[in-house]
Amino acid sequence: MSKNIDTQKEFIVTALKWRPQKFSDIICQEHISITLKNAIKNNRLHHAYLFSGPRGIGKTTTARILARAINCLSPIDSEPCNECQNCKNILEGRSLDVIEIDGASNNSVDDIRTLRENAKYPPSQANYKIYIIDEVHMLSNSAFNALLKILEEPPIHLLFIFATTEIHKVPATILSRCQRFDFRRIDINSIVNHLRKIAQNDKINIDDESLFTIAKKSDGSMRDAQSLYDQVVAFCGNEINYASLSDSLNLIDPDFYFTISSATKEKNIKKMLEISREVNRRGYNLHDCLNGLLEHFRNILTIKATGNTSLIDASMDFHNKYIAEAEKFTKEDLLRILQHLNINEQSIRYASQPRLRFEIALIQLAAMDNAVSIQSLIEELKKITEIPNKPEIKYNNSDTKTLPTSVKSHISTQIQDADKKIPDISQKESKENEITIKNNIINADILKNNWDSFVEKYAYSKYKVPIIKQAKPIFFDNTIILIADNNFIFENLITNKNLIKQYIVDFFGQNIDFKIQLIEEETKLNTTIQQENHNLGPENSSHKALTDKENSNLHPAEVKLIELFNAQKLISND
Amino acid sequence: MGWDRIYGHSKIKEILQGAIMQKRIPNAYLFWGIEGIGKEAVALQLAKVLNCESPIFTKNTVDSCDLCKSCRSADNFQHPNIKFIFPLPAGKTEDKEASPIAKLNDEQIAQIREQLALKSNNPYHQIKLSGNCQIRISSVREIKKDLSLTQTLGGVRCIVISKADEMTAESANAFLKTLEEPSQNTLIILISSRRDEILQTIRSRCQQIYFHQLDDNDIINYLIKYHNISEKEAAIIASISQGSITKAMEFLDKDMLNLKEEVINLLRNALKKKIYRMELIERINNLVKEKDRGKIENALIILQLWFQDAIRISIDPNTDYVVNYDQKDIIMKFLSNFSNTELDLIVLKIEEAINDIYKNVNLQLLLTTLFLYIRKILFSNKL
Repeated sequence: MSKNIDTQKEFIVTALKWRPQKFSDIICQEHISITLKNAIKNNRLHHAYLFSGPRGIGKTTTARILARAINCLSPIDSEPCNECQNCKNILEGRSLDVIEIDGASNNSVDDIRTLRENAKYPPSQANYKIYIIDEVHMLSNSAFNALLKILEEPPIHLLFIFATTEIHKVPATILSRCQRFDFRRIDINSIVNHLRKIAQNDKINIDDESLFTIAKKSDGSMRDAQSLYDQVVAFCGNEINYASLSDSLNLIDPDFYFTISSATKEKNIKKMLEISREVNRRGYNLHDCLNGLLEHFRNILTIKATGNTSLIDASMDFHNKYIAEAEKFTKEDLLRILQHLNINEQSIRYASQPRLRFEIALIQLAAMDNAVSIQSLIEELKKITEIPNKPEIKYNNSDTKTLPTSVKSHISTQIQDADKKIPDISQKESKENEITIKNNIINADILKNNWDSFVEKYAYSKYKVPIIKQAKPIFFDNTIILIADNNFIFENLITNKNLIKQYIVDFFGQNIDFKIQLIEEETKLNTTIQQENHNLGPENSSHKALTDKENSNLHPAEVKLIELFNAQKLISND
Repeated sequence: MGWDRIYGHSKIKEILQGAIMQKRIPNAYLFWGIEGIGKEAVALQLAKVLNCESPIFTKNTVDSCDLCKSCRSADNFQHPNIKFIFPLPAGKTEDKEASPIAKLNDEQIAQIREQLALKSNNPYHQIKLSGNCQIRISSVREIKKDLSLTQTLGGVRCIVISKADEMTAESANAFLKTLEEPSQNTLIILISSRRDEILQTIRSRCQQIYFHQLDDNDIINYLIKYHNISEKEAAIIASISQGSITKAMEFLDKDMLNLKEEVINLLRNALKKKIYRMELIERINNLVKEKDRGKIENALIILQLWFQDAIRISIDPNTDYVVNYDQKDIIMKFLSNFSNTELDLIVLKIEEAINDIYKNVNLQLLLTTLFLYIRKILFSNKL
């Protein structure tokens, strides 16, 4: 006789061994099991049920329990007894009345035709003839259509139970003929509790952190969790702790993510290179690695946004670590990091050299500049544009200083009210500036004092409006008038009017009025100016010369000449 | 002995032997990890041990004897308990009931025989068949038929499915029920390098074991043992093969040393200050004249690795973490000429180009634009 190892094989995988046999054993699907039990109790069974939901959460199991519960000879509170002849037959798969069909293997219209032929015969022993069609989404189109009639008006003894993971592949005409039950994912705690029960039964010591890790990795599916459990038990034996578990499943050490996030913060590219090398050495799956990193930064962002750790799936030991980590990053940075990782997570699947891609993703992470929110950028910009107004700000500040203290405090409380949600000092300051600009006019003196620097900035260099240097400015409160000496300058100014206007707005602020005038009107203008505004600052000598009554009846060109050569009139023209 | 023929993966071997000893072999395993690292070799060895007539036990290990009839027939893919399934080309007649092999013509069957012979000599051989190969529903039906029959021999019936991601949607779904509740004494081993393409419902029914890349030393040993090349050449190939024997084999056939020389020269040419255009085009023409897309891919991978080395050296000049040891001086010189450049952009651009190779692009244009882009990036930062 051969001494094969295998003949001793008697191990039944946990998922099968622990397949629930009663409604009450089904975990986390109470909304379905209670409904079904009540339906049996009140004799309100529908003739077709459709179970849908992700893998490994109990669809097939529920279908089988339902079949037994319906046909059981001595049900206990609508639960199958699992002991009577009918239950036994069904459990052992030799019942003539409960037929389980693999929809994926028997998906042709011929298979359904056979089913229809057989379905019309009444059950031999039980009350109902029950067809369980698993993986029903794989039926061909014509097979589905062949089912329609019998599904709508089945013989009294017939009952269908469909189970599928891909409900969208089932035609609407089928859906509308069935009572549909959506199974939900099983939450982590329920999985942990169930696994603990299994482990106790198997006399295996397993710590909570390991259970938690398995539950998390199984993504809401009990069967996944049980498969992982089997795998770990096969590797570790009867004593399971987190270290041996992560070794057997080749899990990525959570500390490793913290190393990456601190290297990101420190912009330590060299460290990143070492990490990437370490990842390759340990043989981590790069895709899982990026996914884990995404979750890591997501956890930090969650803490940043909510201020507490209630929304993160991590064991308690890490909560404080995450809180400390959240201090280091701004929300903007985190969003940008997440986006970066997300892009890389997608593209690494198709990369010809995933290792390189991973390494570059890490290097770019460390090389990333700090992100700034658009709001704060705008604030910054405002500050920059306000620099030329510095004297004006001082002026206003001194103004407020002279105000009675009560008014001052009133203003500051107002500002505080407005800014209560943003207790940032710099923002408050800029807001204050903004208010002063709005409330006060820009004084002519300020305009005048800053004009030279304006010309210096915009006349040459790259802005290319040298013509403003030729023009003569006159200032009023909130107004600048450019006087053109001759037609050439005037026309030039007119063509560049929009540009100059733009520059003035950029330099002095929004409220400035801007006009261009030709020389002929200058005298007239000046008189009107003097009439209108006595606060006008001292004018330069050329203006004085022109305002001379003597020159009033000269031709403008003559005036210009006199001015240019600083000439004196010798002979009168009359 | 058996397990020793497999390079690396010591932990996985430990896990599997532990499972045998503890009698905790599940219904189904899913072995996954990049191509060419010995997943099939491990699966076949496991099947062999499970069917060996006089397995060798020590305290913690169990190995095949490699002498008994069972082991020998397992090595030749003739063991009735061990089924090795791999993607097959489409047959002529799509008769539903026919077995997948019966549909193939003589030529295809001869090819399969030849490939299987290679595989039994070298467990790392990758079976390559011409035509559109998939695991069709007929293969799955055959498995199901086999499993429904009573076992004739002792041992565990093992079904090793190579490239499980090549299953069609129908065959994968048809397989679900078998996978979950197979008949007694059956082990199904799915193997895939693209786990994400396998249905979640399938994955959830398996114990998933991740195989990581091989160590460079393992690849060097392999190359020396099976392919009779010098240690020096093996070291170079191992360093660019990313831990995969399959990749290493590709480089082996292609005279990588010359190709590398050619690529570096091409780059050198593209970075000349003046009068580079004519020569660049000529060199590119020369490179693509055989229209061998695989060769261009290899060339670009070499180029990419070269730039990656440049990045590594630019970050840490003393690092020993470089692929192109022999090129270190050239890279240093390159870096001193083009400091502060965005090398990562170049690497990503090359990756983009590699992905484009098989999208039916004009290779000349692809390479020309790529090199001009590299030039543009390098010189724009120099100004």
